[in-house]
Amino acid sequence: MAETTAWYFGNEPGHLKALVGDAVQMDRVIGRSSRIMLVAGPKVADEGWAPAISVVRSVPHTTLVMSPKTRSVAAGEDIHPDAYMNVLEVMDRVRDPYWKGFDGGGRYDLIIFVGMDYYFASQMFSLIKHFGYGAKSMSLEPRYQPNASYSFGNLNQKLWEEEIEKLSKLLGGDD
Amino acid sequence: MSTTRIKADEIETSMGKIKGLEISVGKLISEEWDEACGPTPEPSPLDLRKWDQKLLSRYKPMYAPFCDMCCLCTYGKCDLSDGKKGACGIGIEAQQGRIILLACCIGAAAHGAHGRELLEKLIKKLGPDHPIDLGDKIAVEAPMVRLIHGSKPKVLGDLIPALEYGEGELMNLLSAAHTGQEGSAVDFESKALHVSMIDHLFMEIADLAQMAALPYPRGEADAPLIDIGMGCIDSDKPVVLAIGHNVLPGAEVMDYLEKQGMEDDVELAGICCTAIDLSRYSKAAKVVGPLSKQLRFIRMGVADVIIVDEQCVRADVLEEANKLDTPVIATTDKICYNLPDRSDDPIDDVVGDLVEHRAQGALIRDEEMTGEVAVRVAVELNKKGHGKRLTKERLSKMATRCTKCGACLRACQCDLDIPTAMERASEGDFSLFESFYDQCIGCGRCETACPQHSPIVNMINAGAEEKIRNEKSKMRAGRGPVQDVEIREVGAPIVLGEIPGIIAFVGCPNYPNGYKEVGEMAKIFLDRRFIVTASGCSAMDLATYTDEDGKGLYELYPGDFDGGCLSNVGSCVANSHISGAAVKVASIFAGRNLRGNFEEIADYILNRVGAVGIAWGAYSQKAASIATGFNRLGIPAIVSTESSKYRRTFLGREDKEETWELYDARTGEEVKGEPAPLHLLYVADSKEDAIVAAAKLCIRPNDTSKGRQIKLTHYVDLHKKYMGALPEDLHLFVRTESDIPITMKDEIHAILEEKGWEEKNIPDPTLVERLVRGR
Repeated sequence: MAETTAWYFGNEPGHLKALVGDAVQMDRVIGRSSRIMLVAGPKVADEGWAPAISVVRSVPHTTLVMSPKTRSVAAGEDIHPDAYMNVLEVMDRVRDPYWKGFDGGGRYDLIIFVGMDYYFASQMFSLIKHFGYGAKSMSLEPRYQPNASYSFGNLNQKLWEEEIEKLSKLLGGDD
Repeated sequence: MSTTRIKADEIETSMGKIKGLEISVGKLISEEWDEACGPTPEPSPLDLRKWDQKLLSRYKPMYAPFCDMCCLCTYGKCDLSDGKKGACGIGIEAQQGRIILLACCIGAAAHGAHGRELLEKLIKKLGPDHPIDLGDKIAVEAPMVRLIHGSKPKVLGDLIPALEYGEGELMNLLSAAHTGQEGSAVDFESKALHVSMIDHLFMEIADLAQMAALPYPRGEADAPLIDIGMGCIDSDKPVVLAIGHNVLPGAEVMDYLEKQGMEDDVELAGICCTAIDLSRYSKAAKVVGPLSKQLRFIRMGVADVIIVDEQCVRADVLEEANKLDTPVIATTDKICYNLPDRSDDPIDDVVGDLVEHRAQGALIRDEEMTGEVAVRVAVELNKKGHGKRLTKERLSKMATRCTKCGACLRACQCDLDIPTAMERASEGDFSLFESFYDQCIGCGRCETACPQHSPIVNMINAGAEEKIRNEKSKMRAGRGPVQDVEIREVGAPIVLGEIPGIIAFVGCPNYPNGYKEVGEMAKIFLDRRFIVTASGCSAMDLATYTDEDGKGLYELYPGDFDGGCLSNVGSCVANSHISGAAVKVASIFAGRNLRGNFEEIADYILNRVGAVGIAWGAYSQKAASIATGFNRLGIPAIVSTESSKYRRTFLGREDKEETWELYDARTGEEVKGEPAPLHLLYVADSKEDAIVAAAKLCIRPNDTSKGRQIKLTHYVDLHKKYMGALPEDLHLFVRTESDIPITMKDEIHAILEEKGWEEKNIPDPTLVERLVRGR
């Protein structure tokens, strides 16, 4: 994995930056994580995220939490999250060392975000980086998020769609 | 109150000669106020630290650092990532608290300095004994001054000691941000809460001073309806544009126009809070809009002369204006743009230099002179015809230079697809640029990123030509404080919960999805008979929201402080009237003493007054201190995702029962409380989230069952409408069977049963042990 520049030029946080990965590398990171939380933000409604959410959700030991606004999208796509919660409220639990997760099974070691405005996601990744008690974070958006632990680089729409498709296949066990 | 100094080189007395005598008496208090003083007149940060600790243990500050580094001293840059400390020993958490404190100090300083400038100038003009007379409907004229400073100002000069107290606190708190001072995030936050409380004091002083001295509305609900919008400015007339927050220079323009009988010949237009305050001063003044219109309106080349005063004025106004040969007059010591000080020059010389473009602008520290120079220059330049507006044809040609490098995209926080719009514009189609008009926040960052230096803001303006021409609506002029009589009317229904809440739209126009969301939210709460109030740029943007018939919210809803009404209290500094209204509920309705009694009043508001602020586009340090000041007073604020860049939230956890314990003031018993209000500073991740959260955050432990039924009806109904289901935390807010709205009994019972709900007592809630009766 290599480094690149933040999508917003002004969003460089310091030297501790996300590793840039492709679908294969993201699949490996997901595969070696033992407890995953996928956080779907309010924009999943607009951006056709449903298929990818379903695939990541199917990975064992994955908890799905969605922004309350996405309830109708989830219902329409037959997605059944473990919880609906505002993203900040989820993060308030992530920064709590005694939190046992939505299922009581313990803390999550990988938190993946999809469907959020770039700058908002950036802040949430920063929160995990500094106050997440060692949890790693991953962005599956097409714009490099330096505050995450792992992120795609800055991809155009076509390349990004290809990466997501490849990741879905890898996670689904197709390759 | 006043400061007295006696100085004598030599005095002959019966005891002998006294040389070099100097006596200074800080304050002489002439006491005519018999209200008993509470424990904290002129509080220091430590006097209210325990209250802050109560709040901060319930609403633990949560940080999302903007940057991993500290760059504040020459030890650094220090990398604070991965648990590392800076060379001074500070860690990332305390550093965030420190940045918050700095932001709040800057915000409070802006209002404090604004207040001092107004007060000194108005005292110089009218004398220190000029009365503060807000009319017979406002007896509690200065709730924040009474509450915090512990004084009751009657004349302008009485505001000086309160201002001096605040300035002293500000200096002390700012010093705590120096390297090698505070090291605890919680104590940084306590200090931020303190200086933000001081900010509300400063704001009140500033607005009281101008209300006492200028012919503003005095709390009247039917303040005049003022023209607002880029389209309401008659560009055929000479146009004087005033930008900023200080009304005095613009007011002198209006006075000069009236003196010369030219009110109908020249347009006086304002942007940002100066505009709101000019519209309080004269209904002939026109409001272009909030600060997001600044660059766009300057680029239109409509203004013949631009006056800048202070706060939220773009740093490049002079550069931008000069591209169009528009002279700029700077009027305060806060913004000088390296312009020569022409305050002592003959007026004819200054006018001549500006009209003939021998000077780009001038610093004029005399408002009266500014008034005359601005009008004369505007008239002369309008005759000559000036400016180099870019035509659509020219812009279309410029668009062909776009290489689609995408630099604009990486600078635009609104995610506007500028490269595609550019491609279409190169073919003469500006429709995509037109569609950006409502979403763009007008920052111009895209242009500075563009290697071709394309004037993207002009392109959006060109696309939206028709829209801009028709951008005309009505804003109710800022009314100022809520009248005491209104508080008497609504006090009981608010405290008992029968008015479902007060929703205050405050702050700036840095909206993630366009300003329309603010209008949509306000309309929802107005139709549900919440009390809706507004200030600053939000008050202006609410005016821009119109219904299908083109009617604005201020035309559709009355301006009272009552359920189903929309009141505009005024500019930024008028935010103190919103906090003041909550304080007045405790004082006028509940009969609690205000004087030096902050903790008791904040405890009252937190537990009883269902008020929430929505700062949907907050961007500035002032917005940080305004919100944090509301928070210390027990009033939650909701911000948008953009404002997550403030780095800190105050969230409560409903599952941490121990954090909601409180005293039953009747018995003194410590009891389990409700998670209400659940949060103190909340980032809503969508407009829908904000709507539902606002209804929920109006819930207070003191609500009567009837009031709780009303509040739950709105919460449940809005949750179902915008989230598609019943709220999952509903059981936490039902205390007894009688709290359940009658029409929702069946569905709510099902949830209560599922959650194993049990009835709870309704306490007389307080967090402050000394307020238990009999203690």
